[in-house]
Amino acid sequence: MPGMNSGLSPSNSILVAAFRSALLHQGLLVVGVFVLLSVVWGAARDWQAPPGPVRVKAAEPAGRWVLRAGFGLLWLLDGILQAQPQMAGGLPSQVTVPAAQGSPDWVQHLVNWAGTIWTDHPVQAAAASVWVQAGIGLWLLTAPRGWWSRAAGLAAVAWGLVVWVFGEAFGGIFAPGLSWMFGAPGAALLYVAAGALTALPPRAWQSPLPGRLLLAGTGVFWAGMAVLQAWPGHGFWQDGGNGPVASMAQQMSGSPQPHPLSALVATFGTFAAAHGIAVNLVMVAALAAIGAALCSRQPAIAKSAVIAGSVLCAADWVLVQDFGFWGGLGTDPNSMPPMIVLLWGGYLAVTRPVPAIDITEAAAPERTPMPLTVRRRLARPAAIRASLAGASAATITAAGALGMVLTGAVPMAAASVNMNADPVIAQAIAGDSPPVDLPAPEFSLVNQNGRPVTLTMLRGKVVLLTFLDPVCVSDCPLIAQELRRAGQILGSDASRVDLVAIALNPLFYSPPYIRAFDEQENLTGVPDWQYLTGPLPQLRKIWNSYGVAADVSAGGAMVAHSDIAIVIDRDGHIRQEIDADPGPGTASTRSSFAALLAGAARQALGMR
Amino acid sequence: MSGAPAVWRRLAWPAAALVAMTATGCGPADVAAKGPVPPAASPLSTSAVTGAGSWAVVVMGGTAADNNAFWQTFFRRAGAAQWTLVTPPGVASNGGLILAPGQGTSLLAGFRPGVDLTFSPLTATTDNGAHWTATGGVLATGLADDPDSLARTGNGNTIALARSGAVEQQAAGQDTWTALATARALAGTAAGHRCGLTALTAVSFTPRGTPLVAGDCSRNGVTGIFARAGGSWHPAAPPLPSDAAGRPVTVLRLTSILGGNAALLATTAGLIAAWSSGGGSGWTVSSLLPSRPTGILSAAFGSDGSISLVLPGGRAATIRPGAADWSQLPRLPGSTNTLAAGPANSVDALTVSGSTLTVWRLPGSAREWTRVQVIKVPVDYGSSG
Repeated sequence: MPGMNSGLSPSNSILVAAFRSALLHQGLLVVGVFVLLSVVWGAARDWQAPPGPVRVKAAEPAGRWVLRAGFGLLWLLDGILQAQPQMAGGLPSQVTVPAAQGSPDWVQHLVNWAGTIWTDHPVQAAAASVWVQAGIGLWLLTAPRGWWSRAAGLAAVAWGLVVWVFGEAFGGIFAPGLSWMFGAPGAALLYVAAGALTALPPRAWQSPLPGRLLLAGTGVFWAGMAVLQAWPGHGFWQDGGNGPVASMAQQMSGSPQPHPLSALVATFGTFAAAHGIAVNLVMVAALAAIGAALCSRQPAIAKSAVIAGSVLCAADWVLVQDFGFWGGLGTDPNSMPPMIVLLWGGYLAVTRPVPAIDITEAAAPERTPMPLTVRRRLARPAAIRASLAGASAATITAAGALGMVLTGAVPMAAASVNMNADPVIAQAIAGDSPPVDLPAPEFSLVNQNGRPVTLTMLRGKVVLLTFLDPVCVSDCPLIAQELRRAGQILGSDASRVDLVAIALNPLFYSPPYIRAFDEQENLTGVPDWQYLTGPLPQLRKIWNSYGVAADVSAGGAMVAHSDIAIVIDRDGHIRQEIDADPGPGTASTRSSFAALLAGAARQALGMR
Repeated sequence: MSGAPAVWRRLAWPAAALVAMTATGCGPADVAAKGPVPPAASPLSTSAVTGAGSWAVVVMGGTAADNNAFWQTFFRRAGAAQWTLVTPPGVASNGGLILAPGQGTSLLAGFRPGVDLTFSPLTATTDNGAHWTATGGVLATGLADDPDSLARTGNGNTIALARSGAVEQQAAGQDTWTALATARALAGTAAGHRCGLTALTAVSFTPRGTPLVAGDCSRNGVTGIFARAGGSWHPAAPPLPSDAAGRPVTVLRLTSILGGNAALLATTAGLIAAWSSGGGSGWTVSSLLPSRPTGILSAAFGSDGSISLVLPGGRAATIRPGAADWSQLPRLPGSTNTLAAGPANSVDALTVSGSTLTVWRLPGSAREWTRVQVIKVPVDYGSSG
């Protein structure tokens, strides 16, 4: 899938360092948000007149509490997992693309679109996922009631859907081989369900209906999964190492993890290989029975189903899904923990309805009022001040959690509409290019139209200079496109920058080859583009003065040559030398290099 | 639904969801896509003979998918026993090499487009490949994927079949190319119409320097070879033997030989060799060699017009002008890329394994191949991206 993979290793040290740096800086911002909220809250409470009697509101329904707290912890865990070092460079290629394998083209197209955004902005996307998910988790945990709590549920629904569609390819429901054992219908959809339930108004929880719907829906789903598990031709009814369950267990046991766990999963894989039919029979029977029992309105039967279901989920989580988060790119603990939380949340919602409202009055705590002058200064708006003063610590923490979510979401939204990949990808390939200040060696050549061009003639403009082999089959076409794109990114600044290439092939350098290359790369209409050549002795002298090499090889290989981009300021001084090796040459790396070159040109122009 | 028992009403929507989920979870059927059947074409591996010696073009290295297949050129001086690597330098040869022998020790070579290179650089040698010089006439549209897509006369006029299907010409000493013909324009002529021309497949020159083009005919029993004379195109094809009459004909090869031209034709019945000494007329044809036209691995020509074919299954067949029948050669060494003229009427089989070329020789009346040379080529794997 073009664009889905930057071509860089997920453990690229520059990407990892940039990711860590982004997390640190954004983490400081999050801390700042909490500090600011605390200060403002404290000031508002000090200034505000002592409050009236405290009303103790109704206790949160047990079922809702389980869902809110359980999924709050899960979101928090997912946020922490998202901070693993390889996430920035590895998520699309190692996680989301494989998840979409086998799905229809339209699903892969959606996943590809989102994956391209991640690949083009890896650091921002990875950091955003950390803060959004951890923020949602903290929000759910610290907002037990009221519209703040419901808003947290809605936030969970929104982000859960994003993850389910773009990260899990709709949980694989459109791909063959769907199985409850492997995570159907996608863990993120379970988060969405919990979020939707959390967002329900309080009166919805005054009856056992949400719980009944949740259990019945889960029961129907499990019964459907039993049918799929039993379906002939899906490969589950077989003994031998090629069965899906045995294969999955063996694959998961190979992930880096503590050896005892790996051995346990591998042992189960061996067992499943030898007794695949028996294992599947047990699974089908268990799913069907538990599914049917969950649809029962008898509390005792439902309880038994929830317990049995939890045991089955736990067993699958350990033996088949292998906890879901090992290997360095595990984004969540897969579907079983959320499933267990949903089961218990539904059961408690059915068996423990909302208790009667109990209002008590308590004496207001004494506080020392602020000086009158400060009070007058903070007099407006009075309503906001009163709300702040009346807010609890949990509410302020929830507000901070919202700030945490926005710390991730806002920059990511801005990055997603930026069509240019972040320069960090190019820097990960090219490495550092420290600033220099050297006079650029003069040259006197002719351009593709036969007009003489010297470096002196280009004074007054920044020059992005490179060396291109006109018959090169790989690097030079990529570098040419990156220069072309850099010119487009420069926008109105492009008229102050010259894009210059000098021929770099001791055998094929005549003007017809220069022009053929320009036609091949659609450079003929690019303003301020000059492709220079001249007699071979002159070219050799210029290559030497700029430290570039062009070595002719036998055996049908192209000329081995340097890949470099040199930034020359308006006074003819070299300001930067960038390793222009395009690396894997993916859409992301090309876009990133173009952004890097444009940024370097702007810097030389004295702008930022 | 209103009259149904309550339990059924409650189960109605879950049942519908169950059915929908089951249907979805069954997964889509996997329908294999069927692509078009490729037409018969002649591979680029080949050899030719000039007054100076034998030239061979073979593919070596790894797979084309990895951009690790590199085409190489070898030369054996007339009378010498050994071959020499003379691949033109300066351009990656992933797309293929097309040779157009000239007079004496000169030869023009064209690089086919490959990887990200879309045009064809041309280079020439005057010392049997020891040194190469880029010519000014780069073919912007790129050479076609045919071993006869480039031809040159003794005085330096050049004709090329481009990827676009157009024929372009370049006068001696000039850098620019001008259009000579297109398949569509040629199909519109009387000659082309009689053939039902659909595509052009080869270009050549007669000994007098008259341009020849060959192509596929949609009309059965008609061979698409045309000569340019008096500003227009005329049929210049050989007559077909009776056992090939009424069948569709493809011109697999059309090339210059000493004193004339040679062609290799393919019909559904088999292969036919043809030779002309009269500038596209006065053809003699061989008997039919039963073979599937899509199975040829290489076709090579001697200076006298002899044709040697590498066929699947280690088989090889050869025929000389005027011979009544094709001769079968002894089973070829494994991985034979092409046959070439060896010294003293021998035949050389050039086999390839990765970056190693092995030359096996079959003297005139021998029945066994003898290994005579091994050349390790410095293939630069991974250099083409």
